[in-house]
Amino acid sequence: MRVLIVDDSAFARQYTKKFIMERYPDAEFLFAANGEQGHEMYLVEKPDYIITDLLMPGIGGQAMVDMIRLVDKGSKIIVLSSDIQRSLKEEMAQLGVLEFINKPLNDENGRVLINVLEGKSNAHSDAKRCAG
Amino acid sequence: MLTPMQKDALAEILNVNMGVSASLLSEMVNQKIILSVPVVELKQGSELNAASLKRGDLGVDKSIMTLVTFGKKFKGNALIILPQDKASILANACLGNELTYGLEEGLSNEDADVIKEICNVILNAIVGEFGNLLDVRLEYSAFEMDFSIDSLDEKRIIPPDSQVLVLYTSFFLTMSQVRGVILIVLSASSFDMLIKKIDDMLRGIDV
Amino acid sequence: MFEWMQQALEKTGIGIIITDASQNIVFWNDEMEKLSHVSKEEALNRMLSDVCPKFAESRYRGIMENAIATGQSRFCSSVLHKAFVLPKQTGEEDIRQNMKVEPILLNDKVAFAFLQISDITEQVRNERRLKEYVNELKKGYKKIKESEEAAMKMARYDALTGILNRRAFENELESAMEERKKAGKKFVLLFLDLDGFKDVNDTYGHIVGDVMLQQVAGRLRSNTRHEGRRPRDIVARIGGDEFVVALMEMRMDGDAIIVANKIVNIIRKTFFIDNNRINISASVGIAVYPDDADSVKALIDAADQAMYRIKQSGKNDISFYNPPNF
Repeated sequence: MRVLIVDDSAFARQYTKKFIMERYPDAEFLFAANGEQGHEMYLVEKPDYIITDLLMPGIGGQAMVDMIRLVDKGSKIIVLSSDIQRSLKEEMAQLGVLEFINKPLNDENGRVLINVLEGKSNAHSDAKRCAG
Repeated sequence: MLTPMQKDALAEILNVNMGVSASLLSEMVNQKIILSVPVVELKQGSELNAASLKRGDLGVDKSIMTLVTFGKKFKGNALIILPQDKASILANACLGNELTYGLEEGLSNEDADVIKEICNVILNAIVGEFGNLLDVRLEYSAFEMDFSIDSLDEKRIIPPDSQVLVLYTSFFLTMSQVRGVILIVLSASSFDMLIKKIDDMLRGIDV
Repeated sequence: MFEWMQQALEKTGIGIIITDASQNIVFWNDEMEKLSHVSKEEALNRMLSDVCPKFAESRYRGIMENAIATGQSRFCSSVLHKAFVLPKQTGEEDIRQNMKVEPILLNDKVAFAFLQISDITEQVRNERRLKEYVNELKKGYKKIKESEEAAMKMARYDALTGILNRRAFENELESAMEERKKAGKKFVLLFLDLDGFKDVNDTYGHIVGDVMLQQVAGRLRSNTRHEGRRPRDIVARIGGDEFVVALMEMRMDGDAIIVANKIVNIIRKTFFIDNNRINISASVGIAVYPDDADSVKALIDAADQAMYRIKQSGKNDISFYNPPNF
């Protein structure tokens, strides 16, 4: 499994990687520090999953997700952000994001992340709840 | 002294806390507000006093101070300090009227009430996030607001042996910016608890 | 609860509600009865959201749940929330209240929620009135400042023609002199007297005479450099029918002659005022700084004297104080 992690904090990128590696030791990781890099990397590398923050310098996560979803409706994107506004979650659900997880990553919401990566159907629950 | 990796982790933790606060605030007042944390300093309690904060470079000459005290396993005070003249800009922005100048007549009662409420929400969010991070249940004292920062010199607010995270932050409104300072005053043992948690998180990570 | 504590809570003048951790009301003081028109009997042991509909809204449900779950206090301002408790029958839009929600812990657990609701309708009304009053004062002050500025302007400008008056002209000339001196450059002062103006007044009346003066000022302004181009030429009215023009950019003495003649010609052009066709002419005296004089008074004097010579010798012409040798 190849995962692209997009976040402007080096610590956050590595922390997320560590979290996933505990469950998937063989996973391959790619990193980007902002929206533009994330977009480029996606186009070139075509990872299986993208895990992205929203508040980043440059075009930001939302614009990046928009651009990727525009060309690839099959892309699997998980948002990991400290922004908890309902309206934002709804917007991301409309964009077709698989899941919206609140930072920080802990045992509880980490389980949600793992579920998505395992392709479990519960994965859409939060996104559906937001859109509904 | 923190290592670069610890600093990185601390910065990310604070960014997340600020992000949660800002989005709560945004949702509460239905306005677009972004809270930044550009600079974080770690200072000993004894190094900080009202005089040092009153200096122009912090832009908090005539200031409003809001405070919440928390404990017990994780113990300290959290404060937001805002310049009084800019505070009315912030208060009005929350109501959807954006002024671009501060008012000379000072804060009205209504503005003060709005500031009190939004600082309450922000501090609750920041401290609450720390509680979640460290997985401890916190107890809170009542929320205080003061129209000067002179009481900062009282040992009860910044004990000399405490460790203080000084966050120079800005509220980004649609047309203007209000700078303020957030102080997270932690007892020595509570600071150690935080660092221990950070070290835990850093285990197995090469940044 | 001790009887005396209960009495104490009744005397605060603030609406006090205490609920248990499930938000059932266990205390409801007299002030709450006043604010809500709901009696203690009706309120006790009922859900807060049933007795006060506002608390059924998700935002306030959230605030209560957060206080009980986390132990955090919350202040809610009247500005953002308006009011929390309204009398049953009337739904008064003007009521304003602040609210504090605080937890009460027993054995380290939140056992009760303590709500304090202060009615500040009067204060808000008064503050609004004060604010309006302050705004009115500000408007009045602005008007005063504006008329002060207008008065100051009048002190600088001639009321009839709108160009500089004598005093303002002398000031400007002073600065211009300093500037030209520093730049090591010359400039020229033209002193204009209108020939036959008195006759115009006598024949056509003062109103026509005034309009003519305005038009003369206009013609002078149109033919000199001002606004935006530095250094500016200065045009002023310093007497009944006397005008001065200071020309700043004189490259050669010859330039002064050209401009002075141009001015004589434009004054000679017919004036059409009130269906009358009127012609006058001008006598123009020319003085050069620093050649002819190096102070404001002296320079004006010199130009005046040169003008006088022309007046004596036939008018409608120009004259140098010190005729240049070509």
